[in-house]
Amino acid sequence: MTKSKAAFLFASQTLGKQRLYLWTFTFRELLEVKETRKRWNHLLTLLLRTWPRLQGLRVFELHEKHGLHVHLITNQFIHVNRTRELATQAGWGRIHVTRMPSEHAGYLAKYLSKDRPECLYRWRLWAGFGKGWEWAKVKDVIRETLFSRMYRACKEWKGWTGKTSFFERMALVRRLVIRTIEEGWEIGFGPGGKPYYLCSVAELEILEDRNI
Amino acid sequence: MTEAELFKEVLQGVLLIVGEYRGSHAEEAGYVDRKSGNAIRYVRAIHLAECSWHGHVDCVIITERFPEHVSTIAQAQATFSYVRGQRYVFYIDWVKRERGQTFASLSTWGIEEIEGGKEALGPPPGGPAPHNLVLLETIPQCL
Repeated sequence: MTKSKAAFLFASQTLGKQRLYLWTFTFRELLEVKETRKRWNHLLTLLLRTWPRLQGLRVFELHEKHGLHVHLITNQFIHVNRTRELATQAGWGRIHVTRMPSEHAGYLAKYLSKDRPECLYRWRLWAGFGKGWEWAKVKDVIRETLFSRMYRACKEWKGWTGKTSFFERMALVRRLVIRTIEEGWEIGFGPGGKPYYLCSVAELEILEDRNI
Repeated sequence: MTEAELFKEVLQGVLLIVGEYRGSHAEEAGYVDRKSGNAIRYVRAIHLAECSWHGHVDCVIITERFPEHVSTIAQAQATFSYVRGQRYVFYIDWVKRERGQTFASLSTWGIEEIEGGKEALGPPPGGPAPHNLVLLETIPQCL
């Protein structure tokens, strides 16, 4: 699971406390992805102008045959015929809507599990919209794993700041993770529970790198 | 699994790694939302296997996700019945090589012992390494 997907699940949990609707917006013709995004921005503007209290989450999905389309979860009943009019105005084609039990709010996360197509590189695959609620952001999500705990211990030990020699740091932490598992050391400590700064390079069996 | 069965599976193209088991670690991994305090947690295990990679000994990090009924670290640890130094077959879903490290994900077929499998070949403790093997520690990994 990626951090982005975890943030989406947190956001959907927040939204999921309400009555939800799942929408799918597609096009009649196959469009370029940039054109789709443009039309989505137009449609969202129209939707929020019509229903200012509308809140929700949108996910882009690049379908194998039908190109890019948009899935939405909204917290409010909006009239489908009026939505269709707005969608036509913004150049969209087919619309589908269904009620969604709040516990299924994370359903759209499955689209975030797919491999990211190259044309969507650096795109926000999902985003929240609407005023009056705060959806979880990736920067608010903390990852808790053996690796992240050991990285924090090494950061403290070496006094790392910034992102200099990032890959060298990762290699060092990885080496220590392997040693910790093999030798059964306490997480974040060297042999005999000694803090890293008290251990020699030979004890930790790591390569001394002056850059990190 | 006998060596003959293993050979058959290799010829069938089953995705697997044969390696010397080095250790395991079970952990409760997950994500925490700083703002709401909500958390997504799951139990997983990391297994280490040593195998050969282009002529040198390499340690593969194999991650195992557990079914829902395994919800605690103790339950996960109870599944570790492997002997360090013994050779096993690790059935995997995928494998990737990233910046000098090999990662793999264990499939639902899990890990199987090779019956009658001798302990992994290697020098006696303290002895010199075979001339065709180069230990990773002697190669700068970050270059």
